[in-house]
Amino acid sequence: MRRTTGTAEKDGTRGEGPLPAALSVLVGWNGLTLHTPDEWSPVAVSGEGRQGYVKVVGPDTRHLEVKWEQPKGVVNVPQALERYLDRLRKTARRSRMELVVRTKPAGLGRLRPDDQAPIAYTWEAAQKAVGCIWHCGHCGRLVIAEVVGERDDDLSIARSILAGIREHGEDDWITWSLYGLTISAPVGFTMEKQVLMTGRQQFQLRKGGARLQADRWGLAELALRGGSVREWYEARERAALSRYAYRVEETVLRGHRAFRLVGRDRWWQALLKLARVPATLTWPCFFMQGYLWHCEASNRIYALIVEQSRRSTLLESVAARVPCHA
Amino acid sequence: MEQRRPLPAWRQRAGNWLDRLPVVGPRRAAARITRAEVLQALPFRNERIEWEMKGPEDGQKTDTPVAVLRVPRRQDRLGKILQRIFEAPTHKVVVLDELGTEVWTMCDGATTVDELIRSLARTHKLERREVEVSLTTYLRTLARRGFIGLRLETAGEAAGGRK
Repeated sequence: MRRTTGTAEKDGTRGEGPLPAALSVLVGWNGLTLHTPDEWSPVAVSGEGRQGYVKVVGPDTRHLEVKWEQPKGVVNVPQALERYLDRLRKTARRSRMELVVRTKPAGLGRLRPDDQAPIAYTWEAAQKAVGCIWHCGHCGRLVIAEVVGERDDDLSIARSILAGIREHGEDDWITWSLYGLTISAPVGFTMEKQVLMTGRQQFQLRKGGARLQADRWGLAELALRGGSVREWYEARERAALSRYAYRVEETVLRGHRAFRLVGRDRWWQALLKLARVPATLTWPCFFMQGYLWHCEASNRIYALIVEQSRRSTLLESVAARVPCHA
Repeated sequence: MEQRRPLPAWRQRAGNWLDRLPVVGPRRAAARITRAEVLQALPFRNERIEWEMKGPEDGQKTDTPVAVLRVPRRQDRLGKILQRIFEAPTHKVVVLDELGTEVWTMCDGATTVDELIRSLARTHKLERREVEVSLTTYLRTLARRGFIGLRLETAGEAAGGRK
């Protein structure tokens, strides 16, 4: 999740004008990116295959839900919406509520490009929602997104949120962004592990033998009290780093003093990887490169470790796309 | 329509007495508190706990002053006997870390949990969600130990509230 203040075009979001200043938080998962107001936080993300789901809740009772799937064959958007509304009606009947649905309501026109065949809708039962369903011909994703709130909530923000959703990455780069850690990885990298702990967010992505790990730690001013970022990192990640023989060089990254780690697997680690080849049928990468830096502006520490082939420029391309501060 | 089986005769005779046993008695649904209610709750410090701020000049190993709590030990009969036998002090000392101190000083009965979250997120440039998750866990720990209480303000119950 990244705080942004740029324009819609710059941030890769659709629409004619700049994003409203209120939509400052970026959430990205497997190519789907969206902007939400400040203080909204993702609470559920799932799906790395043909289906996916993201839920972002606000500090009040409002929340955003996005579901997507990549159906095979011809997609009929009105039928898909009807199927979804039928499910909602069933749920409403069970709780003895009446579901009032309006499709194409006034004020929600031209929410998405016409070639996506978008249908905006609202529903109201115990709660109310403003949503939209569309199909992207480029990536084949059928997306249902809606902002849900209590009956007396103001859902006027829904229009800008729904208009800003991007259902696929750009230029073969996929954005992953949660809780202040935003990275872009080439298409094909899949999320192997995602960790959220107090003050720490980690993504581990993999594509074949290549592995990409990004970490973001908060509370840097407390963590680095009385020590350098390199000492702190090497002490903290001693076990993970013990598998590499590496050297550290000082460099500058995004205006910050950074450390560049260059090395390769130790012989026993390389043997272990080779032993797994018959099972995985994937040739492993034995070379490691990484960046470590402290961003004073955001009070965070970032680490990027890539296991790649010797001549790969993956690390440089990924590091150039990690925004650590606004 | 599903009908409930009547209780056996011995169980009816036993009446309410058995209901008091946790294994046999009816399960009581835990009071459900919504997230919105928790965010509007007012944490307040236990008045029986004495506390003061101590810095490096007082022998603390931190650069900034931290809260040192003097928590009274149990004062019931058994507690007094044990205290006499083992010559235990009347209070135990708990030293909070810097973040804990920050939270403790804000538990003044006037700052809501939501305001606490916003303040910590702003001060330390943290994401709201990670503050919310860790702070609620921390407040729960403090409440379980009896260091703080949480007052839930309900509509029309501005004064006093319920604990």
